[in-house]
Amino acid sequence: MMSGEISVVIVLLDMALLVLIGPLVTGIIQKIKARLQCRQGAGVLQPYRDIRKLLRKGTVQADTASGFFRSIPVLVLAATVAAGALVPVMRAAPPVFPMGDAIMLLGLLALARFLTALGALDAGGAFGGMGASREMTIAPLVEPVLMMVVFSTALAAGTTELGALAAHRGTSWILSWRAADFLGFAAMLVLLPAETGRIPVDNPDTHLELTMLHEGMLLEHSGPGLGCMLLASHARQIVTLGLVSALFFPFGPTESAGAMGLLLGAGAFAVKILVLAGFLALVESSYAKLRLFRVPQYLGVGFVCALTALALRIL
Amino acid sequence: MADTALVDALQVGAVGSVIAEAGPRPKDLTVRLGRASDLPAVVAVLIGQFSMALATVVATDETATPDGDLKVRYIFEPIAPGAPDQFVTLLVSVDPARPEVPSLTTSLPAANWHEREMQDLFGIVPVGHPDPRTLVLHDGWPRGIFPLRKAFDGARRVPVEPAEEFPHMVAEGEGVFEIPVGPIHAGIIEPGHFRFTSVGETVLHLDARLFYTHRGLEKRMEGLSPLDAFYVAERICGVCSVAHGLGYCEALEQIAGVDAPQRARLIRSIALELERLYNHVGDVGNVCAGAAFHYGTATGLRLKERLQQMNERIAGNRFLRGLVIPGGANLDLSDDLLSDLAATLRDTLSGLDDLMGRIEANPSVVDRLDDTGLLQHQAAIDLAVAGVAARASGVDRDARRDHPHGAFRDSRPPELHVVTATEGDAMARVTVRAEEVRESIRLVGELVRRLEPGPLRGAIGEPVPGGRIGISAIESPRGEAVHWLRTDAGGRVERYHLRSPSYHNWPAVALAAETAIVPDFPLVNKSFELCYSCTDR
Repeated sequence: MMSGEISVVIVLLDMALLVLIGPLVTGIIQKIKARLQCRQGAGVLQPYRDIRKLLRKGTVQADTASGFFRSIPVLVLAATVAAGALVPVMRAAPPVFPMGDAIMLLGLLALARFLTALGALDAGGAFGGMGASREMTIAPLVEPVLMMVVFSTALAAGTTELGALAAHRGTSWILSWRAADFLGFAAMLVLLPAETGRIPVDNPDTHLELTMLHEGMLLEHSGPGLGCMLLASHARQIVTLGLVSALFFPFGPTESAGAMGLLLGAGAFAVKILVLAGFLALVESSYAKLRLFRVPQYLGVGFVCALTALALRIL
Repeated sequence: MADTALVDALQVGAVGSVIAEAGPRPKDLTVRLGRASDLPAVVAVLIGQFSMALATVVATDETATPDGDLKVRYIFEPIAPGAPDQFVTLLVSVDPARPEVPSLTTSLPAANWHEREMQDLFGIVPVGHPDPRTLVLHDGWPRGIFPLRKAFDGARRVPVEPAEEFPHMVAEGEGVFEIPVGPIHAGIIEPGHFRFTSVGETVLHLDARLFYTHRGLEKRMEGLSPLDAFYVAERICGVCSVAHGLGYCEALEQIAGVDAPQRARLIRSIALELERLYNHVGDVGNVCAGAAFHYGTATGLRLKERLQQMNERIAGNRFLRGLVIPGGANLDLSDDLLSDLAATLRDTLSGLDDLMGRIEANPSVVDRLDDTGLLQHQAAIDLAVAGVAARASGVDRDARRDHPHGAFRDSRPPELHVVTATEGDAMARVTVRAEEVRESIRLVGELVRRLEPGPLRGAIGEPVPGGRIGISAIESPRGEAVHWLRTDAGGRVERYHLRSPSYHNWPAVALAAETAIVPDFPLVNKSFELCYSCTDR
């Protein structure tokens, strides 16, 4: 193995791990939320059970949906999983071959979102259209800001490839955080609930169709298709959390990919994800959902933080 | 006597004869109008000069009696603060060969649904009604069959006719969208179809279509022994079991001339407050669900569950059914139960104080509730809105004080503090509910202190007196419910009508929704928290 670069096996291992533990993260968030609300809550494995149940069920499709509708879940899942390949989990080094960078990652997530909205519009239901139009109102406020946060960090490292970025910084880098890092991280915390479809921007637990954003777009899916969409949602969440951890808390083996190093990297990743999951659960239990027209104001705070971070980096 | 002044004023407005007599209760007044066309003028006098509001409208089919007509009773109640406990009935005779009455809806919006219901179930046409679409009967019900006419056999199946799509009232224009919601919803709630028209997220109009759970209960009760019909009345709605059971009992007891013993009256009022408590506490939690404030939702559910488990210990079921029965109360409250109850209510009070503290201290929740779903004071009066929704819009009405029932009929009734607010938004409805929970807990304490050993039931002998009318108004958790019961010559139920608070409040929800955006509708709806079953019957 070439020094400082990571083999394709580990990249694939990373990707598989992300998809597999995605539902677990959701389960853990749900469990923390339940405990914070003085409830027992379902077990942390519940999202897996839901997906297994859906995969066994038949599909019901709206008469108004076109043939394209059935392929939406697969495409969305594929785009999200591909994005997962770009997140360093156990590694903090670039892969041996050029794969794509943080911009590619955000692009794939945006593609998944676009396809989801397209599917919702295609089915022709009122709630799907409503959810899609709301999601497309919010997305242009979230995605550019995410991009700015990525740039503000990438500028310091001189690369947008997340593995290389992590390797460049090294583990000790967290001790030398500058104002731009703090501001970028603050922007990320503001954006996290929006990107993962959680309170105060969206409410993943609601059954009230009229209030839905992301969930509204899933209403017309059923059976294995819905299972894929849910799996994609879980994957999207952990990919986003992975992006945060790669940008702000890089940690992992760089020189050699020995078994101990990999395990250490995976363990560190798990801790980082758990802390961020706890943050999301805490926010979800402490606040009500924002009035829809207040969401741009809320995201504006993230924008200002990200812009300032970027400006500080450039100046 | 004030009634003389009222009758004189009505006489001035009318062209035809105006004959007034006392009834159905001694303090009430029934005014027979010789000409139905005098209705609008007479009603204008009642609502203008005497500031009365529509309590209910009851149509009856009396074609088989010597009168040989259909009758419509428009029942009004005074709403000025400090007004006496009185109902004024305007009685109009309708020719079955030409069943028409002038519509009051344009001057009295509260009459809107009553007139449409009358048209559906009795075939009495409100001439000049601005919106004469069907209300109760849905697509496929054959034209010309009126289920509440005596000639219609309730046990009969009717053929389903092919129907066109129901003409929803929608706005049209560029960029205007229709959003159909329901009748089947995702949550565990009753069915109702809501047709929004919106531009972007702004609601232009909401057309609510209900009566999916119309079970023909009023028809079912006709011909039953009034003692048996009680069980139907109690089951019109689950979460209003005590209120509807009690309202029916009080109407029946008027007819039978029996008064429930004092201990039974106290137990009835305690049961009514317990029903209010679990409803109000659950509703505060539900509003949190509408705002996606999970902590509040979970806390509301937890507090409600404790109260319903208490209900089960008292009555053997979670809805307190079977506690109130004609003539009195069926179950006694032992000292053990009372101390259990006191402990439960103490916990409920501290739990609610904690929850309201967290709601009021949380800007994200307050921001959702403030100014959401405004119901103007005048709109609340025009639509004769009842209960929490009315009081949160500054209408000082509470049937416990205005039409005393249960323990409030004592010579020395318990003190009642009626909670009102002026803002008319979702926040006002939540705070009024929370205050009423505190007041109810205090009231239960006072009622329990008044309990003295004594009989629980007065006997109602069968047959009950025939040809009499009983009327009662009960402050249910959702507001004033008006019960109207009449027995036939043989002492059986000839006609029973329930005007539930939800019946008057649904149009107010549609109005309030028009001040909100689409994603806030569940919140607006939950801040009113109305029943479908009570409305549909």
